[in-house]
Amino acid sequence: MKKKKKILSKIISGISSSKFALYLVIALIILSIAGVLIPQQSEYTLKEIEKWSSANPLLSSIIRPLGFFHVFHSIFFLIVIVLFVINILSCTIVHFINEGGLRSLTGKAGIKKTGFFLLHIGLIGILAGGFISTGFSLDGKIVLTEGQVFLERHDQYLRIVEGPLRKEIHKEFSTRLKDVKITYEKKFFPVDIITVLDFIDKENRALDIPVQINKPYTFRGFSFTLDEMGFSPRIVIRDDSKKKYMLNSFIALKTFRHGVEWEYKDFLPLPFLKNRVTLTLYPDHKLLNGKVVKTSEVVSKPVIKFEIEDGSGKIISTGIIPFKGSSKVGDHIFTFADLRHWASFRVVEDPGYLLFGISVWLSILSLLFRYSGELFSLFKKG
Amino acid sequence: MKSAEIIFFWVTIFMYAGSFISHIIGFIGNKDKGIFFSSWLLRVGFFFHTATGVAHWIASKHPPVTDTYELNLTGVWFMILLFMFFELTGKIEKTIGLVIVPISFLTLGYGYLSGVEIVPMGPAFQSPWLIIHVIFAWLAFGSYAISTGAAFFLLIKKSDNNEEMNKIPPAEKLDIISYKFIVLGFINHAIMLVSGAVWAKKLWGHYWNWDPLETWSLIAFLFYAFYLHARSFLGWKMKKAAWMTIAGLLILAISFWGVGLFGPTIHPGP
Repeated sequence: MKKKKKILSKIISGISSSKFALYLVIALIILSIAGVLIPQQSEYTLKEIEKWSSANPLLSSIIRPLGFFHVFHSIFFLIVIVLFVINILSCTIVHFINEGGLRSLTGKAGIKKTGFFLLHIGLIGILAGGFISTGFSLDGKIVLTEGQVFLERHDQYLRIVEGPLRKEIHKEFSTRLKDVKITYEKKFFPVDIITVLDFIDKENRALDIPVQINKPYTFRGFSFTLDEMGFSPRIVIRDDSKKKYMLNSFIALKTFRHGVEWEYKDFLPLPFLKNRVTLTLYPDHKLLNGKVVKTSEVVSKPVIKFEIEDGSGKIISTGIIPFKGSSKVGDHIFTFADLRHWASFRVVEDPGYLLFGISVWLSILSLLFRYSGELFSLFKKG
Repeated sequence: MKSAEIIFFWVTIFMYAGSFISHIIGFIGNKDKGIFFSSWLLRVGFFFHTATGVAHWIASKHPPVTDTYELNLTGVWFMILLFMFFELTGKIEKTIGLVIVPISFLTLGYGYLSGVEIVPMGPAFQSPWLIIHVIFAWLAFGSYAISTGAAFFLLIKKSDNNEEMNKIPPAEKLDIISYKFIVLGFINHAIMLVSGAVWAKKLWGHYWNWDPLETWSLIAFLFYAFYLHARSFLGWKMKKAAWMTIAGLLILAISFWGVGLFGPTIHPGP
């Protein structure tokens, strides 16, 4: 019995010790360095990881089974975080009991002690909030053209990442992109982008809600953050030989940024087109020696430049389609019928944010208490 | 960059460089006049540095906190302000300027070489959290730099009785200065991380994205947390602590200037 008690107290003192905390901090540092040095899996880095793996085949064969391409969601990281929570919790309780409980928080040294305990409680809150965020959050991306409606359902997201512990539950409200207003400086640089959204479900409706970069809106726990914007021309394609309409749709062109220059461009992945056709939109243009030159980002005299490639990627034909006008592109007649904006949003439901938010501010406050003596000596006179 | 700003900028650089040279002369030659002169050159440089920042702010119509040049210009301003404040209040020795001043003008030079073209402030930067984030980032860096200055002199000081080293304060005093400025830096660092997380939540929908730059900044934060823990519970002081302080600044410098080497980052940096 005595032996058992001795072993238990040894385990408790080991787990709650400052030395153990230091080892865990070192482990976190090492894992974080690995997370920076090894390319991490995300929607944008799949090619990068493959490239890295073929350049480092031996390392890759070790890293992949260990889950180090996703280090911050790996089992090792989770173990370190869980141990860290246990360490902080036990260390706080042991210190609290050993130092006389609530009595230790009184007197001159009480400020420091209060800071110490609150800091550790705050840290547990941060880790717990982070755990809830990682396990239960939803992070989706949607792209809407002005007038388009999005229904909050799994299959409606362009991309979706959900926490491993989250059940597939959706709130099925609808969101409509009503308008996109952009203010440009010197006709080229967007300094203000405002999207106007309507949110509607069975019981609630929020209409004409402005969502801007840095100013998200939250509807039923889902925050909508404005991500990117671009142009969606409506293209009508007609096969003249068959006298048949093949397409009549808005096409969201990708936005590329080259420094301060923006380019709106995409190819049409349509099976009935023999060759690859790339469209580039110029919101405003002039013709210089037969070439289209962009004169502004503000929509004034829009035009679409098309390029047709052969199988080897060589451009075999190029031309322009004027706004509300048509041009022959290969075997088809293309009409540039309308022009609207598109906007992409990150849609996030994060149940851990509140706990995380409260805990970080508590930790900052408690840091000030914990180190009040050192700070006071720096700022006091003399 | 307009002509007035160019003049102010180069006067600042020359003043800081002059302050550094004068400091070296004063330190090596053991002359009080050199160090005294160096302090004055630093103050004049700071005046012109402020003028550079104001001129840039007026020309760009936004606070200088967006691109590399602006971030370095603002950052060094806060670093020098912090150093001068504690030097004038007598909390640190003038000698520490020997480390702070070269870091400052090298950082300014790096910012200048990265391009000085004025770009309008994009919507992503139009957030009060950005200003808080940048100010606390540089206050943290400035505090850690002062701490490193103290640690550097602690390491080169052979003995408190050595006459050649009488410009350097006693080792124990340097150790305490170094520790206190790590505490100050650590609190600023924490506020920088939190304000960055709030900004990220508003901008990207998530408070933490495990982006290389923010992860590296967290690594530096954990390293300083390790320092504070090791000092409190394992008694790591004096030379051991001084080496850790220097290592900490190197880790932090990577998060400020070197993280682009490890891959793409969504975070704009200095």
